[in-house]
Amino acid sequence: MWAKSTIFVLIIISVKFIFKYINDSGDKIIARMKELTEFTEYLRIYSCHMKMSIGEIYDQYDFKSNEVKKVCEKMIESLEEKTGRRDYLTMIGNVLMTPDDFNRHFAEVVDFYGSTYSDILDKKLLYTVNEMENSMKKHEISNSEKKNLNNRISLLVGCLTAVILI
Amino acid sequence: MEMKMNSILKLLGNNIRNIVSKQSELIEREAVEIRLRVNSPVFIKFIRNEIFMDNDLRLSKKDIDETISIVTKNSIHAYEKEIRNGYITVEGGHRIGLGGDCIYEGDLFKGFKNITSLNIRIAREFPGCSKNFLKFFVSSKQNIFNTLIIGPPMSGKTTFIRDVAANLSDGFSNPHFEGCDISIIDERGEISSVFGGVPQMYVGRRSDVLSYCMKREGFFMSIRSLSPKAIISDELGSMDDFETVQYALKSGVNIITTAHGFSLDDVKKNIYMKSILENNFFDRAVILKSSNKPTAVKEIYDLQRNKVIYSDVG
Repeated sequence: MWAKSTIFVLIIISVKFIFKYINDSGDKIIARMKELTEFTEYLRIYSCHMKMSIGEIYDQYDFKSNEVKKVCEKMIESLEEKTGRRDYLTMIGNVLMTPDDFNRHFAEVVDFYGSTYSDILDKKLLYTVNEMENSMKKHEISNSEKKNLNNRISLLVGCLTAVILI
Repeated sequence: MEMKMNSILKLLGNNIRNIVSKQSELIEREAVEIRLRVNSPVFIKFIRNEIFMDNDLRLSKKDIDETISIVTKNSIHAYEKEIRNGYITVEGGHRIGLGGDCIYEGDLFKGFKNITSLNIRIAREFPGCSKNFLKFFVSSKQNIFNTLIIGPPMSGKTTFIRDVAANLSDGFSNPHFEGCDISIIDERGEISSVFGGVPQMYVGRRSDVLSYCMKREGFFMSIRSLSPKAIISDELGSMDDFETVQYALKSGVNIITTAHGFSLDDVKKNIYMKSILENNFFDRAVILKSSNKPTAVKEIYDLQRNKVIYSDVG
């Protein structure tokens, strides 16, 4: 009897962990979105007010996530090679797993960065940052709703799985 | 005479680089300017002559834009201040003059909407070009004469003053001069050719450089905080300069600076320079002349005794 109870509890815990993993991956995506938005704001201030070049800004920024760093490195490459935003957009999606509308706003930066003077660049980057923030907020709300739902059903799914298996 | 061809080639867009690299050895040895214009072939000025490279290959706007992107490291906003002055200083100390459609905000020049021509002025160091004339700059092993270097455009005033700065800073042996602290007020970033915070030209071991600093502020700041024996600056001749020079001399700091002109009388046509010269602010005047050499001294005046002490005329 005690063995069955232990397996029952273990199954519930395992299912809970699976749901926790799903929730964590959603949080990670939000964290990457937040970092990319912060980088864009940093890019705006250091480009337009401190008159620094993209290379200098990239070297100076303290990246927390390697994925975001990779995306920013690719941005410099895209600017140098003038490859445009289409390839870049695909790359962001593959590396960050962030939503398309968010990626699209960031990818637009390669279309105007480096060829405009700071007052215009300031306005354009500010607009991009706002759009990225809006998109992030939307995703954050849907992520927290998903998380609540997952937390609620995880116990139920766990019990159900355990009952079916045992 | 030192210039690394790579520092020039890496600034150019692919097409232009291919054209220019055909003459890279000659350019490395003798080129003064590389001129790039939309709808024109690449034009190169050498010390003695000038040539159009590949007459049929006319440059497109894309070629110029590509070069601009490389020069500004895809960050034109970072070079706005320089663009407003009409040129960008790049690694190696080379200077790129710009031309195109201008944008104004009110009366203020803001930049170029389209850049259609580039003039790459190749920077070269000529260490020792002032060597034979250093004796005219010092009165004893520690003292320096206030000196005005006069010359027409392209006569090598900046090259000359850079070498003078390096020698006064390091000291020299014939006649013996110990060397002293020098402040260089490099208003247009030409003397030391600072790029990315690093002087691209040697200006001496005891030299402090204030780059892209207004002359007036530069003089006041350096006298207060850097306590130089001498201040070296480029191109005197504006309204504020009388007061600035007077302040420096009152503070016991010597001045070595340049002015545009063919002769002393020519310089006096500028009313601000006239009052500076008539008030005997300078002890010596070195007159340069245009020549095939990097710098050529025509005459040196002792302004206190009103006497020519060196002449190369005739």
